[in-house]
Amino acid sequence: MKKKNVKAVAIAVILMFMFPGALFAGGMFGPPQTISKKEGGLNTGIGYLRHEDKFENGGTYVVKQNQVYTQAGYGVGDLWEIYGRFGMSDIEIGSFEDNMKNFFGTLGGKIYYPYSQAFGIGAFVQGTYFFSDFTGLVPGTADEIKIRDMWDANFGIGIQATLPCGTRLYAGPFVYYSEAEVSHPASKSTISNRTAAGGFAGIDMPLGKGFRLNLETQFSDRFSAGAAVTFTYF
Amino acid sequence: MKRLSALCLIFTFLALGWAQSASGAQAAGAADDPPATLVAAPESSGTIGKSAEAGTGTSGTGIPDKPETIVVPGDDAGETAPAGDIGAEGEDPGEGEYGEPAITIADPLEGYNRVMFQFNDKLYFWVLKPVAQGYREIVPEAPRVSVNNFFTNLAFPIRFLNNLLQADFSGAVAEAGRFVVNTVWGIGGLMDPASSKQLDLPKHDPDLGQTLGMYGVGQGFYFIWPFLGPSSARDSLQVVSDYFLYPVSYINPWYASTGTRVYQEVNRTSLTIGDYESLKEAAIDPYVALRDAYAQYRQKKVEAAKGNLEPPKPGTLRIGQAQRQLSLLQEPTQQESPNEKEKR
Repeated sequence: MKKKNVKAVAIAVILMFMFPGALFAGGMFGPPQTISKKEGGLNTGIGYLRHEDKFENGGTYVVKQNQVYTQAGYGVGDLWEIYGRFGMSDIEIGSFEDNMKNFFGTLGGKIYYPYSQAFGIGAFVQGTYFFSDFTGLVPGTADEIKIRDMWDANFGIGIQATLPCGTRLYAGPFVYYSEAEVSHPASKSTISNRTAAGGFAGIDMPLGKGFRLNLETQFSDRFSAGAAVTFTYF
Repeated sequence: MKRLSALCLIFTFLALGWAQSASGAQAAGAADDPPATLVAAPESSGTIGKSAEAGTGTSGTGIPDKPETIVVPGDDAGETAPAGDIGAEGEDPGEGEYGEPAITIADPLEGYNRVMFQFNDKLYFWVLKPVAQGYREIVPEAPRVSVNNFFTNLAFPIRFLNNLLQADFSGAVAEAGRFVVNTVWGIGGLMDPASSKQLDLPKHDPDLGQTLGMYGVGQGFYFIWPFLGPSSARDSLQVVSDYFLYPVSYINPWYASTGTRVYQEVNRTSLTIGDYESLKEAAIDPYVALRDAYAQYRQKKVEAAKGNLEPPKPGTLRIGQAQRQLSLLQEPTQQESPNEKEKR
């Protein structure tokens, strides 16, 4: 095997090891309770999530992903909501970098059970699929690595406290599964993470005129953080 | 080259329109003299189109059998004016049903216009309407309204630039705000959160014809474009500006752009089926009815824009409200269903 192929395979293998973990976490989860009006209605939003991860395998690799997305949801009675997202993302893993904005879509649903006016508990399920491939060259070679068919599924439980001003604080644990296919001229394999768990916490506060600001952080191996501005239709 | 030719054509129309306006102004000046050519309609009639019966002077072929005349609905008996002499907007000596001055437009190309009117009429009834009806049966109203919202949002550059040209800076800011809000939180413009009761950002809907009119350019003469419908020498320039300012024009290849426009028109028609029919049924001569309605609509729009230059007086209709009301005459409002229109 030629030397450059050995190097390429080595990087591909490294990539395959790097992807498990929190890398594929797909977007923010939001507060457990829908922000739609009680009678049922739409809400929309835009969001940004900065995701970082670190992996060590003979060296330290930092994984960075920037996701921007637009979201639309429909909720009823403060009890349930379904939502969809459409966004773009880049990826950077060590020397592998794909600045092309790759499109992804997310579908999710959440239910909420209020204990009282102020407290409640909810659960969500959310899945993301990347429609386009991440591509990049193996450093020093003309060989291309492709990360394709990336998807993830998340499930979490959140506890929410609502302050008198309408601000919602929430936190909880989540589990997720992710999978992708990494291909290289010399190799091809499907990678998936071990079932991983993490935690999330956030705040969702009213801005006025139907707008709300949602800030959230997720933690598994490293912190990820995001923000979204949502609008509730009345 | 085609674009250049189109531009030349439009500028020719505009020049002719200005010339026509000038002659109209002269006629208006001559109105101080005894009304030698004016002959009154038999009865006062503010109804659009009724005036045409006596005055258009056509012999059923769509071709005028004598120099074009337009009967001015009004109280004064026996006044008819050569159409070319009352071409300038707002210079009409007659009055409408409620005492408002009747607005007409010169129509020296009536023969051609009637042919084009028939062409567009048949196009509507034979092609556009059946397709729109089929489309309406398949697609529910909510998505069709959303599609209409999307294309309306896409025309933001036209509205924004004309707001600036009219020195309506608050309108330009409002339009920019509407565009951002509807694009970002309205799912690319499919929804219209800017019009929601929380935000209540009114739509400012100026166009180049209105802008030119505001600066004193007369309508010129009436002209019906094939496929596009009623226009005037002045408003024809708007066809060109809209082409360059409307993002759909830049879709490649050309047939994709054309297809998008056709779809937009089918969707829009599906939301307004019945409007044109009502206008046509209510008129004795639909051609004249449409022409007068067009002239009045455009004149009101220009007056609304002119009013915007003056500081708003207490109790007067603000420009945004006026424009919204006027726009109802022409196109479906964002997120407004036909049922809502009927209720209104």
